[in-house]
Amino acid sequence: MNKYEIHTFGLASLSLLLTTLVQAQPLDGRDIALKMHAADSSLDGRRDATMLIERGDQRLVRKLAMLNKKYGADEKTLTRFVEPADVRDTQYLSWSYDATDKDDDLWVFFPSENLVRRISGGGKKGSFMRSDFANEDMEQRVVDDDTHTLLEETTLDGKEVYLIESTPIAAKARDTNYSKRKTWIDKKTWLALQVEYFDRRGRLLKRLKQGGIEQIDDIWTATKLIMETPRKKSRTLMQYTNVQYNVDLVDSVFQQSSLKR
Amino acid sequence: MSPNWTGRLLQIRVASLLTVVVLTALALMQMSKLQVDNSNEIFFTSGDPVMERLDNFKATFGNDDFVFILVDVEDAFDPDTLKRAGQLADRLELEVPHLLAMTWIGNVEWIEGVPGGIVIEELIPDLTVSAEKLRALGQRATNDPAYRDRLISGDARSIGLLLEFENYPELDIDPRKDSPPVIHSLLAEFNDLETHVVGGPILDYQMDHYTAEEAPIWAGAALLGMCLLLILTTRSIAGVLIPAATVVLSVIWTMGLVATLGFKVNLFVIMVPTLLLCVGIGDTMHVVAEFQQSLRAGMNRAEALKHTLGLVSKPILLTTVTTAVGFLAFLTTDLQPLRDIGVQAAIGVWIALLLTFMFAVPVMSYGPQPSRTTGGKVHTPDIFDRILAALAGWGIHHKMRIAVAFSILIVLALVGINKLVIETNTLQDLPEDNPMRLSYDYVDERMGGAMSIEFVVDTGKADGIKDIELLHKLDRLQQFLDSHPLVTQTSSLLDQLKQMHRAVHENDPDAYKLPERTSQAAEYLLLYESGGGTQLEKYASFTYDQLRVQARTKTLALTEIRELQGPVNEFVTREFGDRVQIYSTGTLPTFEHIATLIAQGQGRSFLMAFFAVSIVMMLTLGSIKLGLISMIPNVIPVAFALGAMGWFGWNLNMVGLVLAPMIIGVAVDDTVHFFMRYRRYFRELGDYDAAYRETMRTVGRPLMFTTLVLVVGFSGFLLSIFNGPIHFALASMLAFLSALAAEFLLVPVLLSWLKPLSNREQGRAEEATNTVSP
Repeated sequence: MNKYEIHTFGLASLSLLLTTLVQAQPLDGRDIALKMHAADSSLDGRRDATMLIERGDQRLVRKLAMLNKKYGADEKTLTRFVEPADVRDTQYLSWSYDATDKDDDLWVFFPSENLVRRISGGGKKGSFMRSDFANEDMEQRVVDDDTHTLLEETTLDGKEVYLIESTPIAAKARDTNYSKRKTWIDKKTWLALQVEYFDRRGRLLKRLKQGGIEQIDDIWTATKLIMETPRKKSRTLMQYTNVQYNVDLVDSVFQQSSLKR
Repeated sequence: MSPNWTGRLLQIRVASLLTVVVLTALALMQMSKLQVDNSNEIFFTSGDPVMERLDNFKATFGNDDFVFILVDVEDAFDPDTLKRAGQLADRLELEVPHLLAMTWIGNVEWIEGVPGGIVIEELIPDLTVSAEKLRALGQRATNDPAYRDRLISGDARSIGLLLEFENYPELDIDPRKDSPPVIHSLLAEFNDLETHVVGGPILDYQMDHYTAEEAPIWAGAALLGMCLLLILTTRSIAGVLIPAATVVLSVIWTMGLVATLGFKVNLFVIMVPTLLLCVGIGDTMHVVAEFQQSLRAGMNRAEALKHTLGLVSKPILLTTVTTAVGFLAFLTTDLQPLRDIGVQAAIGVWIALLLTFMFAVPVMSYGPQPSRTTGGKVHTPDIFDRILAALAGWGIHHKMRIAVAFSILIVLALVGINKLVIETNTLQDLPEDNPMRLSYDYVDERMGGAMSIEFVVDTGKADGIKDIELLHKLDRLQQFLDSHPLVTQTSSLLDQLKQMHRAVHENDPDAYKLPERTSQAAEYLLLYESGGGTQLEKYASFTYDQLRVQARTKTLALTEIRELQGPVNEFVTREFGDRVQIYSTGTLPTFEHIATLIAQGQGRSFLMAFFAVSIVMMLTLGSIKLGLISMIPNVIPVAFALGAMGWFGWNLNMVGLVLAPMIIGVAVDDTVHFFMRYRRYFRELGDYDAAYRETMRTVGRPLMFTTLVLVVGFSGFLLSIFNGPIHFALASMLAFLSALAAEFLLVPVLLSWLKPLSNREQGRAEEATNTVSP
């Protein structure tokens, strides 16, 4: 073993040791939240969504076609309504920013009047199309909008999971319906298997279960989501189909000028 | 009861008394389980269509229960004031149970069109902004019809906090009772703020409180009054204690049984103990009176009891039957609390009879034997005897005058009955200076009303309410409601649609109108629902098949509710025909429905009591003609009582509905005793006037005393803070006194004119006289 080789060996050993040390360093709540956030490594994608909303014996069906593209930590999404027929082709374009101090941008296209209007302000806390999902549940939450605590490592439905509790930071507390969320994150896929949402009084408000997990274009994806609101005796099933990732969507798709027909 | 039976009863007197002790202990334990419930829902029997509509409304649009807190301030937009109100709002939001939403100007949504866009945000996103900015934001609220006089008064000196509740969970204990104590305690903590609180749960809670407070006062006052009267009339300890203890035990047993059977107690059912005290005491009084007479006649206790029960068992059994029948007549009404009263009071009078034998008789058997030397003492006539004798003498000589006087009074009573007004709004039953009523009046004055009528438009198909033609028709309905003088404000999803239309068109004031096309309406609704849309769930059904139009009003009396509903119904029929189903629901229509049920129930229960008691009387007296005559002194008091209520302008409410059948059931007791005695003396003496004198001499006294006991007992209700029980008591007292007057004066006139007692009986009387004569 020459000097160079000794050096190389030494460096390799050191790096292995460091790697081992780093790996042995237990993950904290924020690390896990970051890993969950990064689970979708795609640059862009498209999918169709069908929502079945059940309240008592009444049912509503909503169908949407969604496109998204990432710009670093920011993301642009275009949602087109397919059903119900009376709102077909209504489109929502949103630009969401990772910076905690920047509000998202949203534009709506009304086909019957051929009008585009920029929507500013809140609405995040409102219900998404009368479903059990709130608008805020439909987007990836910025990791540092919350503080995350690892509660325990446990199992859920036979899967090894991290259970973390996320509490909004003071500056964001007013913008959300929830005082905290508990998330069960699959150690293998880094997807949330279950999320419990708690209201301002700390009472359980809603429970999300994610299933139908499959690897699409090498990205773990939950294709079936069930959100329940026990106190309202209501639940929403969201089914994603035709999921595709990295489809090279052009930037102009996400410009407000392209919203009009 | 035969002497043998009385003998057997006396043999087991120890066992009987022990049984009474054990059952009383059990009843007392059960009584602690009694639950109070004064909500409007308790009025309805299951399957009631109005209740079903209300249930449908709640299932579709959520719980209609709300609490409204009015905070009086110097200046609503002073930063410190708003901050303090915000602290109260936060605490309420965090601590009040079953809360769905806490809305105030500090957290309401604001939708506004700006060039090229729409702003959807909270009206005051941040309470820490500068005073000028706060004032500017606040000005928007005072100018917006959606908030002015709802969450802020036009002069910005009153702030409203609206607490809405989720559909209550089904629990053993009424969850509606959970929020008021928390709200009251928080308001006490924020006592630097001047607050007025109204709303269904608060009113309900306060009523429960009054109910729990009043019942013992009524019953206690009734018992005290009756004891004093018994002391005055019987002048003996046993004469007071035995009847009083018997009725108290009857009440305990009855309420214990009521709790065991799972009945809930409400303002009406709570009258049962006092009613029972009054109507249950008669049995024992008759037994004690006759027993004391027997003792004075020289019998020993066992003999006296055998003699007494032989004489009074049949009449007190009969009076129990007739009183129970009177109360059971309430079963013909569609009002649940009345049915409950009917069943409970009927059970109660039977228990009172049972305890007369199980408790009063065994107790009377104890005690020293009256010495034979005092035995056989002749009862010396006292003031009561002299009054009765004078009355009988006067009656015989003034038959025509009596008949004319009663006829005039009956005509007057009938005129009065026509003036009767039914009133079911609980608040109207409270005196005008009651704090609860003052709060409602104040909120009415400052915020334009704390009550509402809800109109539900049911298209019968999903998305039906998005139809633009229908929406325009509904707009006309809403305008019609707005133009009605009794409506202070209306709201519906149409307001949001107009708001969205204006916002989409860059806040052009001319665009504050409904869109032209169904597709536009659908898109605006979509934008509204995805933009937060806090009002959507409240005003549109989940599948958009039903829409709600709310008309806010001040606290309305029943006549006003009908004044409003009538024209609206006509408008709906004219504009909508059969195309959609539109119905009204909510608190005020519920009051209206209760009134309809009262009107129906009044007639039905009166007729039922009348026919049932008539049949019992005909069977008892063995004559149709005599049975019918015997009903006259029972019907007259009903007419007098209701007539007096009409003349004095006392409203007829649920409590008043108890009157007619109860009067028949109670007054008939006098009739049973009077007629049975009268017929007996007629058989003996063969002459109507002589039979009258003898009846008055013997049975007149206990009848007068039982009536006085009823009058004194019912005076307990005069201590109520509600007008209903007070008017009920006064009308009842008048009824009992007029029943006695009719018995003592009119009945002898009718008997001597109509001569219903057969010649056969007269013959039997003559025969008896001849046999007895030497």
